[in-house]
Formats: sequence, structure tokens, C-alpha cells
Amino acid sequence: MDIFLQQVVNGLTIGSIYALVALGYTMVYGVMKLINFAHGDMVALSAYIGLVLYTQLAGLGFIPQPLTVVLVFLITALVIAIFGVLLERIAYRPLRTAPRLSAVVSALGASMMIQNGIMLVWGPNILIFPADILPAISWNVAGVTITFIQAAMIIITILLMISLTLFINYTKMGTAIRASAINQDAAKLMGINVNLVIMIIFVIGSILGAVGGLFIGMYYRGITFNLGWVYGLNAFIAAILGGIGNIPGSMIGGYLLGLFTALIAGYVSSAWAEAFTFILLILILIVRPTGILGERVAEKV
Amino acid sequence: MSLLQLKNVTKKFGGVVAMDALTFEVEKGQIYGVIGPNGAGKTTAFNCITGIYKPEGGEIIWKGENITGLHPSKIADKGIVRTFQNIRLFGKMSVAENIISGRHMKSKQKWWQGLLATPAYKKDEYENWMKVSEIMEFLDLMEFAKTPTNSLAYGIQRRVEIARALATEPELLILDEPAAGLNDKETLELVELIFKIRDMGMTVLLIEHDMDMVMQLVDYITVINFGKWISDGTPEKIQNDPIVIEAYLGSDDDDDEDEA
Amino acid sequence: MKLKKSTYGYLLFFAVLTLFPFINDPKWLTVITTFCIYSVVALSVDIVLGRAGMFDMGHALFFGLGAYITAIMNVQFGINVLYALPLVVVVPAIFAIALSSPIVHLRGDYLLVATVGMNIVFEQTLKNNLFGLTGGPNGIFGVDSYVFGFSLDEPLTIYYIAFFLLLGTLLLIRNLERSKAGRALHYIQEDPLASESIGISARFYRVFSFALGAGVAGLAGWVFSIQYSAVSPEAFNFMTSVLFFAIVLVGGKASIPGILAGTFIMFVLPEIFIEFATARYFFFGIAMILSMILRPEGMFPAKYGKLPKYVTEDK
Repeated sequence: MDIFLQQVVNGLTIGSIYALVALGYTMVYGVMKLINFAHGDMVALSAYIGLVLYTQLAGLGFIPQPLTVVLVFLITALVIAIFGVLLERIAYRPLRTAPRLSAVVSALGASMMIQNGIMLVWGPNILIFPADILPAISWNVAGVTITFIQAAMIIITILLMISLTLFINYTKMGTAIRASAINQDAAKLMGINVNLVIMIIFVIGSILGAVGGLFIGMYYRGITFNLGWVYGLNAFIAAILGGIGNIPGSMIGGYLLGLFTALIAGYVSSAWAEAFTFILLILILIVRPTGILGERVAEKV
Repeated sequence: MSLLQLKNVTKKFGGVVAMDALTFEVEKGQIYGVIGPNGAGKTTAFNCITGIYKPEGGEIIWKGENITGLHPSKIADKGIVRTFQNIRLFGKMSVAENIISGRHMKSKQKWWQGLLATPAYKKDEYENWMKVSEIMEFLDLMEFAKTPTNSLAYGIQRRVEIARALATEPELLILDEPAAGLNDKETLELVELIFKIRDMGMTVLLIEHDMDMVMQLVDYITVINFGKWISDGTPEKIQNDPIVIEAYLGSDDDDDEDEA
Repeated sequence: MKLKKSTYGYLLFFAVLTLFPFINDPKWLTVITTFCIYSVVALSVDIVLGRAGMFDMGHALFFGLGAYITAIMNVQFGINVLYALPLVVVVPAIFAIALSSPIVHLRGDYLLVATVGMNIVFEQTLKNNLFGLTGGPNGIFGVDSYVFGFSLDEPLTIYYIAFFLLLGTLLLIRNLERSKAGRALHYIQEDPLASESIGISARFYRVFSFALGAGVAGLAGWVFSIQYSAVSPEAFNFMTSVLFFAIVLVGGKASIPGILAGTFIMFVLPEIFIEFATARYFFFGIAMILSMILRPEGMFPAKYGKLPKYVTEDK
């Protein structure tokens, strides 16, 4: 039972990362019907930028540690948001009227560009996040250990998700986003600035991804230039599991996948973890072809 | 025995009953019309017959055999072939390539014969392309043989879609609003064409909005409104049926004044 | 007789390929041999992705299956590679039918993820040395291709084998294009519902395209395992599938010249720029974006409207 609960805590931690990153995929997909393959690499980029920022800021020596961490999060999120908007302008906007698969290939190209760009700048070897970024506190509740970073990750993620849900459901821009996801042309006719909506989507997706990337760096500590593919793919599965394009679906998908991988790692073997993940995904798709919360699409005849 | 029989066919979408216990019979050799105001459930009926929707209740009987809920391609295989209200051609492909798609069921080549280009394949290809050629002559489409269909005028696209359906040599040809979007001259040509098709031995079932056209074309009519049968009979009878007139006048107020 | 421009293109292409070995540069002979093999795999992906229109991003699975069947039979059981030939076509085809049947009804991106998943499960199975047969992360070494007193992995021999494989595949694809089954793939891609309504079963032809694509890819795997006399999981991982996916779209869906050009650009060009080592994939990514913006339909988009001459002739 202890192992089980411990793996649940670990699963929720990983699930937080997956959910944050999955939201970036799902929001872009919802409006643009495009799998943004470069999103995972943006996440990787944020970990690198975060590490550089932390090293620089901590090196100054006069900023208090908690403020440093907050600054790292804020600046990284800002930088990645700018990158996200640029990515959309350069690689996706020119292809909005092109066949859907052309944009997919452009996304793959962007992914390759960012990934190899990271490698050119920071080299192919693993970089290590310092261990003392966050306090090394841990609590022991009923035989289960929860570290400070785990608690922080889960809480921050949940707060971000609540804010996102409120934003999407109760603001004018949120309504515009939902409208554009349902029918872009109709949204345009109703006077919604779809270009702005898409920009906002990339900003939000990138910010959430940046937080995910920093979590990856602080939690696992070792980062490599190709980590985007690994976490990106898992987050993407999470988005598909929940029903891509569906925001609550991605949150559920992320935590479900986190729990599933943690339990597989705890009870079976990590050598087969990926295979099991995908087998689960394929089985779910066979039963529910558009994911757990995905909308059923009937064709108009 | 009738060729096609609908017995109490019911289709619901969520809680909405789009078609409520619809019953009618089509005899071999007829030109049969289904009419009704917009949103009356006519296309839903056709979608049920051709297997695109599975009805919740009732039976669809084809030559004595229950075909309710069969897969669309199986239904086409039985000899029931349709056109669509919003034309569905293979837009990037040429007229001839569109029409030969209709030869798929009749063509006898096996896939491996095609891959190896065997003599049996070559003979079969020749026969089917010649059939396409014949159909293009018949429908006056030869000049567009190599033209992609999405670059053709609407009226010609309609003809190509009918040509594609004819290429399957169906027993029952279902036309979903074939005159929609056509001008008067094209409509007249269409009427002639449908008579010709009937004379070739095919049965025709159609939905149409254009009342003048329906009345001069069909042998028998079923009128539906709100998914329900409201009347049936010969064109003469329907034209003077107060219930039908009511249904049409009632609906004219809201959405299709131009049809009146 | 007046020849079409494309005919000249093909003549030139095959003349270059036939005469290529006279350059006598072992490195480039290897590259061009692999180019032939990869072109065949790309053409097989195109059957599924370009013709039947299904987002298949896991095709390296079938390529790898062919290669691993050859290596396992030869190295683990000492069977002559020649006897593997029928199996490398049939087994991947059967796998394709079994794996694709439950998923072909999935819409675009969901199918894409499912195929990615299958590829990753395959890779992990190889790495975990299933039944002690697949050799683990390092793969299997020492495929012995000694047949009738010839060693098939001599650079020149394997080059011509790959060359003839490509030639054969091109003929097969050309025949497919002109046949009922090949046309059916285009119909179900453009409008499955309209196809069904004239009696073309979308389901049947979707599975068919997977089976045919897998059979061809499996055969390419056979040649690949002999060329390198070894197989390893990396050669058939999901990134390889992504490469083939990109080849088809950069070149042009359902277009033979497109696929050949795509393979050249995506595989041979990076080999040319190998001196730039690490930077080349950075620029390669930029090139992929640019090529899609400049030619969203690919280098050589497919052409329709080719009819047999007798169709439009007056009788």
C-alpha cells in the first residue's frame, strides 16, 4: 500500500508536467487543428533558458533566493512566449490555407530546428540543474514521502489550471478562443480577430510549457537537448487521451498518464513503460476514437 | 412485390425525432418523388436507405430482403446508388476518373492482376474505360474528360455525379435534389435525362424542391413534414390535396418563399 | 515518336543510377545504395499516406520487421537469406492487416498517434530482446549473405540489388496507379462517404494500403539488413518514420518523381553536407519549413487526368 501511495504521489508530480505541456498542444490544436510538434522543443528550450537565468541571477549574489526563483519563472515564461508567437508567425501562419499535412511537416521542421539549435548553443551533453534551487524539505505523511518540489509542482499546476479554466470560460478573450475553436470562419464573421486569438493561444501554451520545462529541470535536474521529444510525446499522448482540443480533457489525460506511468514503473518495469503507455493509448482510441472527453463528430451529408 | 419498401422507419438524433415511422413503397420502373418543406426529413430518409444512418426503428426492404442498417458500400452493392444534395465528387480528379470510380463494383479485375498488369487486367481496364467513354458520350461530357471536376460549372458537376452513379448500373437511382442550383434550361435537360434513365430500365427515387419539375416528372409522390408521412398519391392528387397545400403554405412563411 | 518530358526524366534518372558505380567511390556507393532502399520505403509509405490518405507515422515498423526477420532467420537459425524472401513480404503484410484493422476508422491525427505508438512499441520490443531473438539495444550483427557462391553484401552487388528493387517497385507503383485498386485509394482519400455510396469499401482499401505498403517496406528491409549485415533498433525507430513521412510531403503525395526528389533532399543532401556535422540538421529544419511554405503541395504535386488514349478517341 505504501508503494502504491508513493507512486500515486510520483504520478501526480509527473502528471502535472504532462498536463501543463499537454495544454499547449491541445489549445493550438483546438483552434488551428494542427499538431504543434515543436511545442515539446519549446519546453526543452525553456529548461535551458531557465538554467542560464538561474546561474546568472544567483551569481549576482544580492537577490534573495525565493525572488530569484520567481524571476527565473517569469522571465523564462516571457521569453518562451515570444518564441512561441514568433514560431507561429514564421512557420505556421503562411501555411494556414495550405493542406493540413504541410503545416505538420513545417512543425516537424521547426522541431528539428529548435532541437538542433539548442544543441548548437549548449552542446550535446547533459546539463545539470543545481540541487539547491528549492529548499530540500520533505514531509512524511502516513509512510509516504512528499518533497517540497513535488508539493510545489502539484499546487502550482492546479492553480494554473484553475486560472486557465476561469479565463477560458469567463472572459471575453476566452469566449473568442472557444468560438474560434468551434468555427474559425464564423468567428471571423462575428468580428473576432482570429489572428489575435491564435497569438494568445501561443502565448498561453508557451507559458504553460515554460513552467513545465522548468519543472522538468528542477525535478529531474538533468536536461538534454532532445528532452522535448520525450516529454513532448508523452504530453501529446495525454492530450490525445483526453480528446485533443478539449482543455479539461488534457488536464485529466495528463494526470491519468502520469499515474499510469508511475504505477507501471513501480509495479512492472520501466523498460516496458513506453510500450505499455502506447498500448493503453491505442486501446482507448479503439474504444473511444476521439479520446476520453473528445467530441463525437458526425459528418454533414 | 415492390422494389423498395420502407416500413415505419424511425430515426432520432439525440432526443429529436428526425423521421417518425415513415412508410412508403417504390415499384420497379417508377419515378418516385419524396417532397416536403425544408427540414422535413427527406434527406434523412435517403441517408437511412443508403446506410449512412442506422434507423432506430422500422425496416427497409429491398426486393424482399431486409437491408436495414447495412454498410453503405454493401447497399450500393445491392444496386442502390445515390447522388448528394451538396455534390460530392472527387474534386481534384478529372471527369473520366470520377466516372470510372462508378465502375468499381462491375469491374472484375483483382488487385494483384492490376499490380502485375496481367492480360485479364488489361482486358478489364479496356472494357471499363470504354464504358466510361460511352457514358460520357451519352451525357455529353466528352469535352470535359480530362478536366478536374472542381473547376467545372455547377450544372456540369451535377451531370458528372449522375454519370458516376449511372456507371454503377444501379437498379435504383436515388437523386437528392438534382435540380438544386440549376437554371431553367439545365432543369429541362435534367428532366429529359431522368426520363431516359427510366426508359433504360432503372427505377428513380428523388427528393426535389422544384414543384413544377416534380409534378411533370414523377409517377407517384410521398409528402412528408416534420419527419412524418402526411400524404401520398399521383401528382394530380397531391396538387389538390389540402393537407399538402397547408403544409407548404405554412412553411413558406418562414423559410422558402421562393419555392412557392 | 515524341517522348514526354517525364520520360526523359526517368531515362536520365536510371542512366545516372546505372552508371553511378563507375565513380568508384565506396562512400557514395553506400549512400546511393541506401538512397535506393529508402526510396522504396518512401514509395511504400506513400501508398498509405499519399494515396489512401492515412496519416501513417509508424511505417519504419514494417521496414524493420523485414530487416529483423532476415537477421533473425540468418543469424539465430542459420537459414540462408534467400529463404527469408517470401517471409519478409508476407509477415509484415499480415502484421499490417492485424495492426491496422482496429484503427483505420480513426480520424487523421488520432490515427497518426496510433501508428506512432505501434512504432514505439516495436522499438521497445526490439530493445528488450524479446524471446532472446532480437539482440537487445545493439541489435543483431553478422548477417551472412552468401548465396550460390556470391556474397550479396559486396558493395557493387548490393547496389544493383537495391537498384533493381527500386526499379521493380516503381513498376509496381505505376501499375497500381493505373488499376482499380490504386484508383480506389484516391477515392477513399478524397471522400470516403461518396466512395462508399458507389460501392467502394473504405475500410477494405485502407487495410489493403497498409498491407501492400508493409509488404514493399519489408522487402526493402531485407536488402537493408544485407547491405549493413546488421540490424539495430535505432534504424527503425519512430524518428525514421518521421523522416519518411516528411519525404512524402516534401516531395509530393502520390507522385513518383516527388517521392524520389523527396528522398534525395531529405536523405542524400544531408549526407553531402556532412562536413557541417552538427549544424546541418538545424538548417535542415529551416529548409523543411521553407519548402512547405514555398511548395505546400510538395516539390512535384501529383497530376490527375491521365487517361488511356482510347477513352477520348472518336470511334
